[in-house]
Amino acid sequence: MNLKEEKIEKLRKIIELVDQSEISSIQSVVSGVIDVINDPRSSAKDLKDIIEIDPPLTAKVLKVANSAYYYSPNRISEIQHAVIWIGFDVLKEIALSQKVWEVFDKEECIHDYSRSSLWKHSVAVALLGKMIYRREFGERGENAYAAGLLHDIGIIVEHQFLANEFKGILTKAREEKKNLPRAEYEVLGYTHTDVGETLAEHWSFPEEFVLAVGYHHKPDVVEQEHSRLASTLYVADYLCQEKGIGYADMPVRDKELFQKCLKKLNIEAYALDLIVKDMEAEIARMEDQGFFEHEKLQR
Amino acid sequence: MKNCKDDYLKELEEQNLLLETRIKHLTNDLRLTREENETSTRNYFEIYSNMEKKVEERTRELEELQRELQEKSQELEIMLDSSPAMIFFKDAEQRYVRVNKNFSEILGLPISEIIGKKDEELFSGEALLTEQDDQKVLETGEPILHRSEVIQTSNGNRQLVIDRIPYKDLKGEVKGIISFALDVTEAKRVEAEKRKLEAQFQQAQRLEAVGTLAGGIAHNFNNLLMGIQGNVALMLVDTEPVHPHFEKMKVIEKLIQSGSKLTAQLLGYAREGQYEIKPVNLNQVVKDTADTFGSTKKEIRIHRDFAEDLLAIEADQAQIEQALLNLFVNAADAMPAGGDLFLKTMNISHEDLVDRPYKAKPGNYVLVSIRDTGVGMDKKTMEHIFEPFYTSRGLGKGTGLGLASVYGIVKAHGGYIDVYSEKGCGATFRVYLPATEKSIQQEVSRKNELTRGRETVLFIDDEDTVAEVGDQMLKKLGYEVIMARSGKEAIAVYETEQEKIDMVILDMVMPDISGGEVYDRIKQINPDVKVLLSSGYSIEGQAAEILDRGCDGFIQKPFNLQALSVRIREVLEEKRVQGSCVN
Repeated sequence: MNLKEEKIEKLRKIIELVDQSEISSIQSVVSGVIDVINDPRSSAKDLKDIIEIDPPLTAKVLKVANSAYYYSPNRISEIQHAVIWIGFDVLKEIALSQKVWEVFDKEECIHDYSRSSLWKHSVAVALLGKMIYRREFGERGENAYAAGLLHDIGIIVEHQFLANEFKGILTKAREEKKNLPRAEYEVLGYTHTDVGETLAEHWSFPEEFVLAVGYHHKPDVVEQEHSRLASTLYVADYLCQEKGIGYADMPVRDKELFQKCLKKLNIEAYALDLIVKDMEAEIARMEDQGFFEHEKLQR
Repeated sequence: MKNCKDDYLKELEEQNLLLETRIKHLTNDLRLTREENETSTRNYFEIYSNMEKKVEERTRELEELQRELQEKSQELEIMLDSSPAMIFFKDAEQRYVRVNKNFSEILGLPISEIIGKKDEELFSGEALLTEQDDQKVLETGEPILHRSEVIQTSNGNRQLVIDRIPYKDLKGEVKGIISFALDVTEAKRVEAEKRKLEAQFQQAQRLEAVGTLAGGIAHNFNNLLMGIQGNVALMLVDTEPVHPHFEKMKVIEKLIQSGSKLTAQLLGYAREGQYEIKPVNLNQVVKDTADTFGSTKKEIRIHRDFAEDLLAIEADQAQIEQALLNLFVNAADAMPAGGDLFLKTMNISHEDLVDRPYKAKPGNYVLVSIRDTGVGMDKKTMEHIFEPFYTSRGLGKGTGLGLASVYGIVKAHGGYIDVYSEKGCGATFRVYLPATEKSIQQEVSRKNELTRGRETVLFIDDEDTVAEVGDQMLKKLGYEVIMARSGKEAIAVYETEQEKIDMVILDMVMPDISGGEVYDRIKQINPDVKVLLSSGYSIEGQAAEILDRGCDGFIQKPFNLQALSVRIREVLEEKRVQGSCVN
């Protein structure tokens, strides 16, 4: 068995574990919302049905929709009202983030890693990715948002099922001043990007999405036609870590790759600066709302 | 300076770029936001219209459900209304919540006027009892069944049998009462009527039993009388009229006649007896019967208005006497304090009998009308007056058979009877009997002289006294006598000695073979045999039947020497008794 086959076998096993765990419980809602995002014929009714089938999610979505963050003028008590007051697209984001949040919602600190810090990082990457798509490409950027939220899901999986190894990996990365993927590879023979990619594939997410999650640490490997999302994700990931928002798995950042990505995406550095400032402002507002605190969003 | 200018220009250029980027960002954002808003709005209306569709669907579903519910409720309603029982629900305050059609019909109130009311508002009097029972069911939660109650309704008093059953919710708490009430008024009435009919039937059976008893007594009594009569008759033959015992013996004979009449009455009561139809003078019969009756009822004045030229009727005189007597008794009953009884006879024809409930057969009739000045009767009583067991004298007092037997007798004679009366104005009974052209035979044909003969007579009778006296009487008249003491013996004797025997006197009632059968067997041996039937009693129709089959004559026991001598000669000389057959 060569190395590659061994890796595939290991990933297959870990996905089996995921299938039997509560992480898989987010699959149907997340896939549903991603389908809504990518199907031009889908409507708010489809989204409403996806949310309403999950009463705890519905409650959380309504709570967020009613929060000061969205300036909703009336008390929103139904998903269909949320559609008009805060918008179809925003509602997708809320549904997605609230559902994905469920797997991040378990506090345990290992060095500078915690699920909530990883969550804050993921939300920031999602937000930034989306903003780049909107402002620079003039597109909705919903996939970028979804990919941003889920790009580090592999870390959660490792933390959940390989707790001891994961602790070792974190220590190793810290002590040896290595990026997380490198430490992961040394210990496990695969990285959290591999896990994320395999899981996204297993959950039948769109190909661009799968590749973006799988190559958000090396977007240059992705073929041209699917590289934009991966590159955007890398840029967003890079910047969020540079700005120190949430957990950082790249203490050693590859500035060259970053510049290469910017060039590929055709984004000027000063334009990016403007977007990052707005993103930081949004994250600050979210923090004010307590969006990254456990109790507040949990119940 | 140039550097400075270049720097400035560069700075301006940079600022310009920044502004352009900002504009680009804002333009993109605004465009997308507008698009998103449009999508949201479109989506909202989509949801909204879907909602509308959904509401419509739900409304349809609800309507369907409602319709089903209505059907079910209608079914229930039909079931409730089809029940012969009164069904009603009351709540815990004993107010009517629901009642079926039957309930409202029996009460004579529309359902809407019953719902929400209490018993005390609907009924008077017995409401208290109902309330007590209801209260008990509500308190104990136990049903109370088969309670009889009478309610007053606009349809009169109704007798009910009520079942009360507590209505409990799922938790077992009593929430009201379900009641089923059966209206048994009609059933009770029918039952009472049935009981009355049964009583009447028993009465009839009793009368029949009494009749049978009376018939039996009369039979035996007649045989005794026959013995006495025979012996006296024999003594009289041997006694000179100047002998001191002669008159006494005549008295004995008279007394025997009276006794015989008594038995005749008993037989009449038993609706049995002889059928001897012959031309009769109705004036004579009415006069004789009225005299007899008048002597017992001094307080009633009897007025007679008889037609001199009254035609004869063909009748059984005894039965006609009986019928008249019954009518007189009926009149007397209507005049407890006395009064006047008007008797009238006249000839009429069927043409005079119009506007009657019956259609008279063409011919001449003899009318006898009996009018009293009594209490009279109403129309209803008149309608039933000839029905058996109908009596105004109260159950157990009258037989209820008097006028019925009058009716029966008149009918049997081919006649008609009707009645006219008004309450308080007396009553008039009119009896019409068919007239006959036949002349009335004079009773005097039975003269004092005894007709004698020398022929041989076979005398058949199982009774010792009768056999002995009969033997002696026949011998006294000069006849040769062969005795037979049973049906079997009679047939045997006749078989061997038929050549010698000129005629047979046959008793009708014998223990082994009945007179009728003996007659038939003898007739087989010799179709020309001459037979005189004798009986003190006859099973209904039997005498008549035998006479019908060709029997030559009939003699009623007890008979005296004279009657016997006349009848024997009549038979032997083939002078058959006129009208010896009934109908």
